Amino acid sequence: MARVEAVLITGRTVKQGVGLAEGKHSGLYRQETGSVEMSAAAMAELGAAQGDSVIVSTEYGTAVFTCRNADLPDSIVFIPYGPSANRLTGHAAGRSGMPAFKGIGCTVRRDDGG
Amino acid sequence: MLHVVGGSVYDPANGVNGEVRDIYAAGGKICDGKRAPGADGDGSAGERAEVIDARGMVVMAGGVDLHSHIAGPKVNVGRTLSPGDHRMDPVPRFGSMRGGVGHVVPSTFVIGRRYAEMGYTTVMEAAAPPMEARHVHEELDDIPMLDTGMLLLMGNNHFVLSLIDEDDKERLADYVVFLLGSTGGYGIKAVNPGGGVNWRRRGNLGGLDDAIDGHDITPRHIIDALIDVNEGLRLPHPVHLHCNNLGQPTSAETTLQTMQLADGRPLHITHLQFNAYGPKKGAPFASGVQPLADYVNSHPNISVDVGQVVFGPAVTMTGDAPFQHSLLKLTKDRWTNKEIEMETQSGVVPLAYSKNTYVGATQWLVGMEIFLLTEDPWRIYLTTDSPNGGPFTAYPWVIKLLMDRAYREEIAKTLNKRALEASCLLELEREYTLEEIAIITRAGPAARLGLRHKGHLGVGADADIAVYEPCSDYEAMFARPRYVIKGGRVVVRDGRAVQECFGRRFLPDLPDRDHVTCWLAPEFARLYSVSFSNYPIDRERFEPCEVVPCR
Amino acid sequence: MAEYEGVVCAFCGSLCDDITLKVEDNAIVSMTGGCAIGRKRFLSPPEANAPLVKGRETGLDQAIDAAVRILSSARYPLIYGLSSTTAEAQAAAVRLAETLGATIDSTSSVCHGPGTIARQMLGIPTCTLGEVRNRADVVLFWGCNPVEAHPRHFGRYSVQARGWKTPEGRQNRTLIAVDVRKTLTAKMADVFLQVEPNSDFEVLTALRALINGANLTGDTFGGVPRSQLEQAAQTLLGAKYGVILFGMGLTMSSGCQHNVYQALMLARDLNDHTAFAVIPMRGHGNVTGAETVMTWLTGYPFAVNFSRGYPRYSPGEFSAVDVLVRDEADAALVVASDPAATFPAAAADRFAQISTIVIDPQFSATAQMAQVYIPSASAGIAASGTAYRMDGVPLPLRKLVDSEYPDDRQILNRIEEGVRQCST
Repeated sequence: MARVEAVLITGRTVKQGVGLAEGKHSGLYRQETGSVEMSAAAMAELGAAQGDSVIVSTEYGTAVFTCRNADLPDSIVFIPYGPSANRLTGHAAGRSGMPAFKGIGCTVRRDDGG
Repeated sequence: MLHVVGGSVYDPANGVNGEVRDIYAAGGKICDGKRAPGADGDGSAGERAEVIDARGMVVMAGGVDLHSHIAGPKVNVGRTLSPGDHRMDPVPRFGSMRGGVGHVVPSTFVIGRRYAEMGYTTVMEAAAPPMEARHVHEELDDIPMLDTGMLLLMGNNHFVLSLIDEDDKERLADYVVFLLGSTGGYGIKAVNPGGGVNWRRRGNLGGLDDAIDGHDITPRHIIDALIDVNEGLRLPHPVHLHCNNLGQPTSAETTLQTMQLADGRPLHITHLQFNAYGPKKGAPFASGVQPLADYVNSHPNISVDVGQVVFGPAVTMTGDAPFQHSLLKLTKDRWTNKEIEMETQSGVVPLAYSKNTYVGATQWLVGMEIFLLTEDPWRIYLTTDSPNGGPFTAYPWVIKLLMDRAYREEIAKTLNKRALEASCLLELEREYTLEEIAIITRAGPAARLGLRHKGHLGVGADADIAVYEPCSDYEAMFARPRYVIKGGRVVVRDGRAVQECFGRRFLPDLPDRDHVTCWLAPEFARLYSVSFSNYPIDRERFEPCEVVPCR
Repeated sequence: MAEYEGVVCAFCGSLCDDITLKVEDNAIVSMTGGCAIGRKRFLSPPEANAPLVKGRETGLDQAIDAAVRILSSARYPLIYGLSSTTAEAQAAAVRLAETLGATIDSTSSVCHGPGTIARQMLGIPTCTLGEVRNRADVVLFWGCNPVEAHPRHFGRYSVQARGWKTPEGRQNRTLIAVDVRKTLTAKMADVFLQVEPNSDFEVLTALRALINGANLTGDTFGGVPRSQLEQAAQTLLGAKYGVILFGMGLTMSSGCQHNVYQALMLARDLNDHTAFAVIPMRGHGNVTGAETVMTWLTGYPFAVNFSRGYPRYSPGEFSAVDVLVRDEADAALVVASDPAATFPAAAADRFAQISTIVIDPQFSATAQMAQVYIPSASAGIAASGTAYRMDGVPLPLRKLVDSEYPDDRQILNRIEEGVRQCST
């Protein structure tokens, strides 16, 4: 099955912020924080279409996301801050307390339910 | 209700010089012994008087420091730059006294504690930026044991300078009143007036008649206009000035011209030591004190605080941003620079003073010369410009240097030889008396600040009293008072703060003339990044406060 | 009906204070100004939450008592969060931490903490946002995306904003953006330098070498062609007043505080040639306050421990994620923050495993995991106090409506009093 090796960046988006202000059970928040952005080429390599379910894994954990197209280098995927992103980020020693939130190696594959 | 019995009282403001006297206090104030409730030993309404046996001891009013950097954004920067140093001086909580960290820039609870533990009860924050005055107040609120105020930076303020450009004295007075009233400032502070404006393009200026970018005026005009405004408003304290050209070999010359500019009107020159250097061939500078001392001695309108340098670590923090940048070039270490829109600038640089270097030794000698050559103790005050010249906790050491000539010389002889040779210090035999110490650390600063209830022990004064055990080692004596009383309650015993209390904020009694909104509000919207309505601080944030009458 | 002008929005570090609100029948009914996030914050009806102990509704007193019991008997309590509450509440939290001998940390440790560490080592040339608006002709955004994270920053302060020497706003400025991806901010920039992930340190040192005229060999640095860096260097040197604004791209990527150190040194180097300032793009509305208050009370900005009766500072040792992941905290008090939504799962999951108390106007993700939940009056809406903007300027948060619950400061003070009584 096709896999993409990429670097994971997590970060803020307006929708994530609006959802935050709305409350974390809001549909907007859950949708936004459950998304992963990838380049068109990366999605094509995966055989994934806009809105498909994909599984992202890092050394810290694994979670399922809905993928969407974005203007990104092929080797970078972006996920808004949130509970799903948290499964992929981790405590890292030697960083004076700052966990690994950006620049984490990850693997992406299609979630075929199997 | 408090009786301090049998001590030798030094109360120079009231002509008491070592007489054995009892001091009575009730309701937080010094009261008349004969009429004090409980004077006969039984209290009124069942309250028993606390009796302090001060026999054989020295009794003075609580210390008053009119220039110290204790609260606000610059001070907090100083703390931020010193985590490794804080680690060496942890201060555990003690009873009701909250803990923190010490070293050169202590945390707020420790500042109050350590001042009180030297017998000080009143401190004026030396330099507050109006736009961040809220921050200064919040830190002052968290300094226990002290009554406080803040001097407000105005010497590079866009509106001040523009109004002086236009020679609009009335609007300038309105604006100064507005600034003080809306920020809870106590008096007018100017730092390197005009130099901060030039710092925007990373420039400076070198003297009173140099040009200021974007303005028609010079520092001379700024200082002159601020003195006029101050005198017109009859604010309790004169203009408090950090002169142009600080730290330069031409500084003494600039300072002398600045004093002359005052022309009989009251002016306070702060940390004179840093502005008292003269040129010297083959050296960065030498002492330029004599002509300054001569001028101060013959012109009673001028007062100075010394800004004595203390060997060891210090953190320089002033509104003189260009000078602070030059310190970075020397130390090549930490430097924070901040520019506050339309108002002022600041710089913070940690460093250390060494007696082995020509410069460090000369600075120490210059400070000592100022103390010893100035004749009228009522117009010279003991400061280290804390923490610029060293921490305020060094005051007892400075007192010892002034009172004990043999000790002073012993120290002087360990200094850089070239510096000592260039100085007249060894010829200066003067030893400060207890009375003079009481003047330069209490009575004088209080009077100069216009605080009528501070710095003395007359009836009606605040019951802020320090009791010291005499000792041949004056540093030990003043570092560890037997008792310190604040507002009539014992707060320090045997040099240790035992009772946490909080003081009040001094505000000047301002005239009703801050009608600036019509012209300032549109300018504000154009030039500031905050709303005009959010600039003034709600008056209740200054409570508890004491409004000090104008002269 | 009451109208309030100059209202401060405390959502993000921009602390916009030009909002007008209309309040009627104890509710905010209309708002002028603000961004989409701010509008959500002010206009969303407040949650109708009740205090909870072990998931059951209870009275405020009972919930506070439960919190007091948990914290008094904890061996190693952690107080965390604080970035969305007032300075007064932050000070109350420090007081409680001292009484408990607890560890206290703010969201700094997972956000701009590395920048603070760099600042401790070097200092920072900085300015207030009005200086940016009034004077900045070169604005460099490094590793931050204000278009999404600080939506009104461009308009109020840094890009379109018109000021004293910048009457044409955008036309008076050259915008440079540095990022690993072409964010919305990068799309608006005149110059976009795309760096490879985790290579900011390399790019910054190369840029510094160019500024300082050092002998630099190589054709690309962190994925950035040398010619682009040389051009950027020229632009920076040609600024009359340049400002570098940085964010998580520096603090979270490999190097963390070392990245920010280089950015601060870059600004310092530039100050030898022209005038430059640096401002950290603080995310939360009052995280600057949390650092400011903790620094004046303890000497240290975050990750502070009081176990020995005096404050000790050690990021990596006393920072919240570490304390949780190493299984040291047996109780946590989370105030005005939602770490369950932001922490790595290994740390976030701990909140459900230890005795957690949450004080928050919203029933947050962390509150859902907590043993005790105490709703509080929302800062800047139902509670007044001071907040510190990203540039350190303090602003007054106002109380516009009444809440049935006390504010964070009052709740923390009640808990502290309860803990003191417990120990006597």
